[in-house]
Amino acid sequence: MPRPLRLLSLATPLAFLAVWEAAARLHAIDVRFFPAPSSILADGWQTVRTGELWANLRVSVARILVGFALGAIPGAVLGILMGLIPWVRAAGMPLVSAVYPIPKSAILPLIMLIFGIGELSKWVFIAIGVFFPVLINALAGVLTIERIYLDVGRAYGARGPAFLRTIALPGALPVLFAGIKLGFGLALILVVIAEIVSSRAGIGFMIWNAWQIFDVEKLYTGLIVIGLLGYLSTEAIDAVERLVVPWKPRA
Amino acid sequence: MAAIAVKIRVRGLRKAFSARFGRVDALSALDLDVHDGELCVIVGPSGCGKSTLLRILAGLDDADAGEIEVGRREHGRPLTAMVFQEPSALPWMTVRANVAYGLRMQRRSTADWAPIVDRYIEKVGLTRFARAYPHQLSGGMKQRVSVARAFAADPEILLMDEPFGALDEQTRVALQDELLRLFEESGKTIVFVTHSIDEALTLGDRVLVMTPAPGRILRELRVPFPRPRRVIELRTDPEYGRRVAEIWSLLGYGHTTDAAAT
Repeated sequence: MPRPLRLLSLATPLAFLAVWEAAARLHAIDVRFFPAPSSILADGWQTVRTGELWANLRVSVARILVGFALGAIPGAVLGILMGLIPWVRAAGMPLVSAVYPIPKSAILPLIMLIFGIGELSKWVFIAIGVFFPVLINALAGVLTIERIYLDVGRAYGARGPAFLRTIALPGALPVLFAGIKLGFGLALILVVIAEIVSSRAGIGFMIWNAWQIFDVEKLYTGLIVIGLLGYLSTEAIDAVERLVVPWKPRA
Repeated sequence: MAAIAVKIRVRGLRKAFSARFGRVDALSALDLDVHDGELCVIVGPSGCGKSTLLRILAGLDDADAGEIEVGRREHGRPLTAMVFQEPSALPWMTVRANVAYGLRMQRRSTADWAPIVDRYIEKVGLTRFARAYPHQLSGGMKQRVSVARAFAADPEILLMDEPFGALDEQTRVALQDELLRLFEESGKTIVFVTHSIDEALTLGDRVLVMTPAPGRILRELRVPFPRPRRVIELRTDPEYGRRVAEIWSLLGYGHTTDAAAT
């Protein structure tokens, strides 16, 4: 990006915050709903100092990571197998197509019924959400590998695990990563939903609790933290992708 | 003439594909002998089934009927290695890993394959690019990777399916020269498919002319030019022009008066 444009991208959010701050101080907006950024920041710093934020963040991150792993790993494995083996695809596709469109939030009551209201149900809930986009993209990743590369593998005697390792997996990786990014975004949404519905800890709980006791600043703090978490995780996944897919030409 | 060892013997090979309007015969009762250590070129019009023949020899497609026998010199060596027409260097591997691919799939140890791979990378002039990925290379360089990969795999037979067909003229001549050099040093058996009569005469010891689909071998021509050959030197040989005309006439173009003698 040219320098002036980059400066502009930096300037707009700062200008937005400045206008908000000024409007709040002049009471041009209702500070009960839109407290000044400075007071949100001060309140947020409080939650950091008391350890409240850290305690909630830790719980949420653990749930996201466990749920993500539980969903992404089987999703990737099954997706690749469905891509490689026609009968696995034929057997699995109807189930996937039937379950995938159900909004994941609608499944939460059933999951709590089966797995209780403890950590397990959160993991399962997130895992189900992550599973489908990862599976579908792994499948698409394998199916979109150019035929010539499959021929190269076969012509040079790659069979079974060797074919998987040298052709199918690397060939599917670029599309698989798109699924991983989608899945991680979903994991963030689902952890908040699960924590709002039933939890005594986590960022979702913190936000819901702030609403119940009308602590508007803390509500905003929760939003900022979950937003930052999303941003940082996207950056982290991009970094992993650059490491694992070094051959992908980048703009 | 001394008895020639037959490396590949193909008898009665048939292959048909089903299309929307019915079955299409690609190969009908094709017979073929390839001699040990020769560069055998199969030339024919598009769609005559020459690529199908190579894919069957490579084990990528199954024949409907017929026999293929390959004389193995040693066990453990792969039967075939293939160079494809389209760019086939695996995008997710470096040049070096691509050239090593065939050897690695044979479960050879790194210590075993590394010197072989480096030698072939050097022979095709890609030493500086050994750690590059294919998307950083030109079309000619990618094709060099595929050629090096096939030679490094050290198969009983090398199969080449119009490997230089998609390249520009100058790059093609450069790669033909490199292939001549590699072939003349290695003594390998190569089956080379092309639609270019020039290419067939430049590279081959024998040229087999195929009929339009369903493909059969129409005629065999011995190429008299001595080795080692260089592409540009060959083209200035008056005999070269005569041979080109002969093949054209076999394919149904031009005069057939003095072409019948083989």
